[in-house]
Amino acid sequence: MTAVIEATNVAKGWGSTQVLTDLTFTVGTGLTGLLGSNGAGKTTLIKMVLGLHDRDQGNLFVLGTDPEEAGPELRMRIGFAPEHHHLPEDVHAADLVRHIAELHGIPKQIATERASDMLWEVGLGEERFRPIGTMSTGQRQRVKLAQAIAHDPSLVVLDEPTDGLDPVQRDEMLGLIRRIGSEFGIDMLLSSHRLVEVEQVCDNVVIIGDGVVKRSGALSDLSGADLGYIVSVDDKSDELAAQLRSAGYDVNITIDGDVLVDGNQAALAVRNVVATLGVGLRRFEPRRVTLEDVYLAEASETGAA
Amino acid sequence: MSQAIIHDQGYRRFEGERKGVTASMWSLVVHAIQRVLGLKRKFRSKVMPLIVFAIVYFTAVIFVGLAFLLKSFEIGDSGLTYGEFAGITGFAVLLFIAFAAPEVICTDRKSGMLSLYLASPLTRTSYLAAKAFGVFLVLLTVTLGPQLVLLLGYTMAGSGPGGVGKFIEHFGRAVLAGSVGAVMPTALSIGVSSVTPKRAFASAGIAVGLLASNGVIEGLTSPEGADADARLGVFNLFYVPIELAVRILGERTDIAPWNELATGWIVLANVVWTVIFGAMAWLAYQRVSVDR
Repeated sequence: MTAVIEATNVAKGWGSTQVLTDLTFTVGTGLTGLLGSNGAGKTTLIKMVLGLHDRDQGNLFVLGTDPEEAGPELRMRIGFAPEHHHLPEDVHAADLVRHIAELHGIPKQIATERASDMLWEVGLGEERFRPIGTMSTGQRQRVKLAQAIAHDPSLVVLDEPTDGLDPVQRDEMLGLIRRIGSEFGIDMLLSSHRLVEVEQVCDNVVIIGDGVVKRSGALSDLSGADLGYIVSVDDKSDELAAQLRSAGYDVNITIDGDVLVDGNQAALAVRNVVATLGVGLRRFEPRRVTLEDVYLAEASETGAA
Repeated sequence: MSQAIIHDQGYRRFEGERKGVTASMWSLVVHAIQRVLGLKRKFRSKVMPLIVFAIVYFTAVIFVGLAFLLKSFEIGDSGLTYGEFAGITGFAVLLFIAFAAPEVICTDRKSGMLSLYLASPLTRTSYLAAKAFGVFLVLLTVTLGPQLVLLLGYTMAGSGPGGVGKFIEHFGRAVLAGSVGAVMPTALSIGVSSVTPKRAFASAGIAVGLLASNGVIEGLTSPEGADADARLGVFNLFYVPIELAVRILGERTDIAPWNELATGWIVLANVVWTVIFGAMAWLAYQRVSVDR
């Protein structure tokens, strides 16, 4: 795997508070979700990736260079969209995006063209000469995304890019992020505390908590494992569950009446019991580990410890 | 045959060579100048710089006009000297000092631009240096520009320095006076602006600080019979840079404490205050949070 970000035993504290105690992970190409609860140290890690905070110990390489040593040169190749929505109210979106592109080394004429193109890409083509102060939160998030990609970065870091968006805007923004990551070939680090978003758009995930990496890797490896089956019948759920239990399977019934059967070999038994009971089968599908399962398992382990 | 060009929109890789960090800083300098002058913004953003420009350039043009119209016009007699001009336009310059740096410094913190700037190739120090240079260049338009208008106008009216050599010498003095006279005010305004994200607070702090130091020191040193040490003049933050410019122009303010204060003290005061306010800004920006 080509490493975009590589951290080994990274630690960072503020005074007596140790925010990150021992981070070791590798972020490869594609879209990577950085997950963790509020206060887990995601923003601190992002600031270290950008070379804005020095680490207390460990090694960190971003795009093959140490951010502490190559800060300005590295940031020339990184796009960043902060969490906040505050942008200059009286500046036109196109002027802001062009200005940020120029700061990242793009010549003025090309920066002007790219600013316009990027605002079209994020769906603000017609609005590009509007003052940002007149824009909605959703439009501001798009402006932030446009300024992060206008200088053709190798890596884009997005800090809570859907914060403040309604469900429709959130879906549109996630679609946009997915498209930028896949079609434009830009590697992205998406910091979020919303599991569904990361699951929806990312290829890889790094989960941090208690100052360490709880899990990291390809999303398909982490969340794809089979857990058994979900069965939904139009009647006699209790009898179905009882017969499967008596056949030796671990069975639970959800509040919706779905029957959760553990074990990858249960398919034949489910079919036979349903046929014996003569009930209608509404749903019968494998149950897979979701990112939420992984996250909650890590959280409960932490709680137990 | 007409030549059709297809303009392809959409994402493209940038294949050219990126400019360096110096270009990034220059881009910020240009942006700071545009910000202070209200360029690419609504007319109300241009009102303050236009008022200041009107005061200083209109004053210069009036005296140039008098030099053309009055046969008895004599610099230092019926005509304003270059040093006197620096003194009487001082309050307009003060207005600009109180407005310029807060506009480019405080706004970035309040609007969240600081976090975008620091995620760019700029560092806290290069960001501050670029902003300070932008403010300095803007201040030159009111400390240097009108002096040059006065020099060229007087010269064309036949009241300027006699001969090419004298003209070049005075031109050099005017450039030096205008430039040096803008350094300490730049540091002061950047220093004060760096301690608050609120533009109004910074502007008020700069204006009140300058006026108060001027009032207090003049009150202690200027009245007839006042026996306060003339060296107290170095604490007059408003007039110290003006007096330095006046002396570079070959003149000297003829009232206490300035007529008793050696040029060395004036130079030292400008250097020390520049270092103090520069350090204040630098220290503030090493600690400033970039979460917004």
